[in-house]
Amino acid sequence: MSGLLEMRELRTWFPQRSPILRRTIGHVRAVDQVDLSLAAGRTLGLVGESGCGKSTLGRTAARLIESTEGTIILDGKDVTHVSGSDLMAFRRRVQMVFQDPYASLNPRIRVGDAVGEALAIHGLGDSRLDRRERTRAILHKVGLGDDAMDRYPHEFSGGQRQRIGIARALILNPEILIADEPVSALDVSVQAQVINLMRDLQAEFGLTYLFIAHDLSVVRHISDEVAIMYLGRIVETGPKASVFRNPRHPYTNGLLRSVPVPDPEKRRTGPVPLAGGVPDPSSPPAGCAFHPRCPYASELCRAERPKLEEVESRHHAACHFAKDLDLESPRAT
Amino acid sequence: MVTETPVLELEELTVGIRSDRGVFSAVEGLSLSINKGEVLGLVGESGCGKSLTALAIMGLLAAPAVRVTGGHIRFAGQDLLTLSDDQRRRLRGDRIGMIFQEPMTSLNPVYTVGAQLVEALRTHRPVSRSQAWREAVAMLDKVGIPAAASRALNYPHELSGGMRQRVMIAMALMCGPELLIADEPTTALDVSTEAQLLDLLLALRRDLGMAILMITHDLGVVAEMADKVAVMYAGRLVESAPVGELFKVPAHPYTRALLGSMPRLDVETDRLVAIEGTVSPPHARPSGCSFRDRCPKAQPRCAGHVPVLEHLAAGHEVRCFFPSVEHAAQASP
Repeated sequence: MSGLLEMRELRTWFPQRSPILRRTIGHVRAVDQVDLSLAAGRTLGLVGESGCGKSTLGRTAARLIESTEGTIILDGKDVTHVSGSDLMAFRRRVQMVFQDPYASLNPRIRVGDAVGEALAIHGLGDSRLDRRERTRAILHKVGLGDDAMDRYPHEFSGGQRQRIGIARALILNPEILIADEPVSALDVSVQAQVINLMRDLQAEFGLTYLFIAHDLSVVRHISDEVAIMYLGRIVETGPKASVFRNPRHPYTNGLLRSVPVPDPEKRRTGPVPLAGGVPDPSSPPAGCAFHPRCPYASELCRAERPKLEEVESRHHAACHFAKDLDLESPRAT
Repeated sequence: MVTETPVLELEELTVGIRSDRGVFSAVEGLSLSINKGEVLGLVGESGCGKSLTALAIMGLLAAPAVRVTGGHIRFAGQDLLTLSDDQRRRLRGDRIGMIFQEPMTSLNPVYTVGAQLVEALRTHRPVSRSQAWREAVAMLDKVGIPAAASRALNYPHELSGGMRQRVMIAMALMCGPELLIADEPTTALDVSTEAQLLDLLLALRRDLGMAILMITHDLGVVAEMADKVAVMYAGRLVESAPVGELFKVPAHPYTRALLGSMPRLDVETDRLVAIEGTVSPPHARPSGCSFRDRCPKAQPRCAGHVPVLEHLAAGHEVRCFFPSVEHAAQASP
């Protein structure tokens, strides 16, 4: 099955330079050999701790950062290095939503102009009036009234600003939205409004989402498929139900068991599920990058990097013992 | 372990904000109590008055624009509002500690973390520098910082977010406070680090008998940590109950809505129940019950006057004319 947007052996490495001579002394392997596929009309949730490379992966897929190696394929066509009008065409189909819309909105530009700007850039719409009409319509779609057009970003609450961010991504009528932590800065109640909006828009326009978040509860709610990332690599991926109910990678299991659950009767007991922190991505541990934090690590894990292998139907995990480990069950049911 | 001596008692606390539109109450008639060794979760959306309550207890309100306009704050039986500024300064950081969401706001970037811990102790205790340094290193070790002796020589920017949060906790604990006020201490952290910190706080509570006022909008954190819960809306306490009771029979529509708007890891939900709109600001609150403009159960009566806190069960109070009495359904409000 080939997806609408595919990433094949994608690498995004950032050079590290010595302070004086500016010689390259190493690389931060933010994204390292990632294969991912976004199925049309579905949501892929991408999860991991901060510093695991999930944002870099999102931006690489959106062609905001050049990849170092590998291929990005949109609808069967290689778009890894397209430029000029081909890149413009790519942007019309793939748009991005950011965590903090306030940081991505110019405070001195009216919301209507900020949202409608892309239409002019892409030469869409017959006239200024037509573009304004389209902008008004998209603002309505995200739940903002006519008066939003002529107001400035600071006049809106956090939730409304995220609606503006979504409207701006949708104005070109794209097929794919790459959303990087779109709700993590919001209060729970407002977060629910935005999540519901994103699901409604997906149903109405048949959108495909890459939903990047560190909140596993949110990801579980919105996703069809999930991918767990650790130190630049995908360590587990598969259908949501399979991964959340039966995680096969100890990292996924640890993350799931760390999430606070709003039920005092399900309080976590025993030692913390995931001790320590994410190692420095410029010098990842040898073998399986997770081995220093893994309670099940053996000699093999220190020596050899495990490959992503199928453990159940369409469910892959990169762990030498994925099929054998008896992991303490996560609290997802 | 939990004894019935209130460490902190708020009685009808009112905090007023003076602006060019007049004086408004941002916290209104708030009564709470926390016993020795107890964890009280204080919950609500942004703008509910949670943080102002914390700052009022600490005596850190931005006077003269924001100040306590009524009520009492009793700490270990003594009314803090009758103390001089100097007396309150001596309590802060000594018998009452506070930690914030963003550690960089309370850490000084130009001093090593060890020096800051030493200062925290020597401000209140007549100990030598070398003795204070030994205690600082011991405290860093206690809050789980590896290689504490060398970490004490680091500057805040050299540490990761989770480590900084630990340093801030260590600083708040240097003098062995009887009460720790934690304002969204884990909101910006990954689930793995969050679980580590929550465990740390619970261990300290157990070892030192410290009471904790845990301010958060995350009901998951409350369920993991708290003994009892107070829910605030628009400056008023709307519900308080022991943690088990609150999650089993949430009585206030706002509490139910907060629970319904959370995506959950342990329960599959089809659609989140968003609370439409946002908390109205202090100068524009509706008459009567301030939640009525967002409440699904609102009746004409709710506009008439503010409902009083009514006793429902042992330790369970609710401020609503139409409280729910049935158990929370697994997924819907």
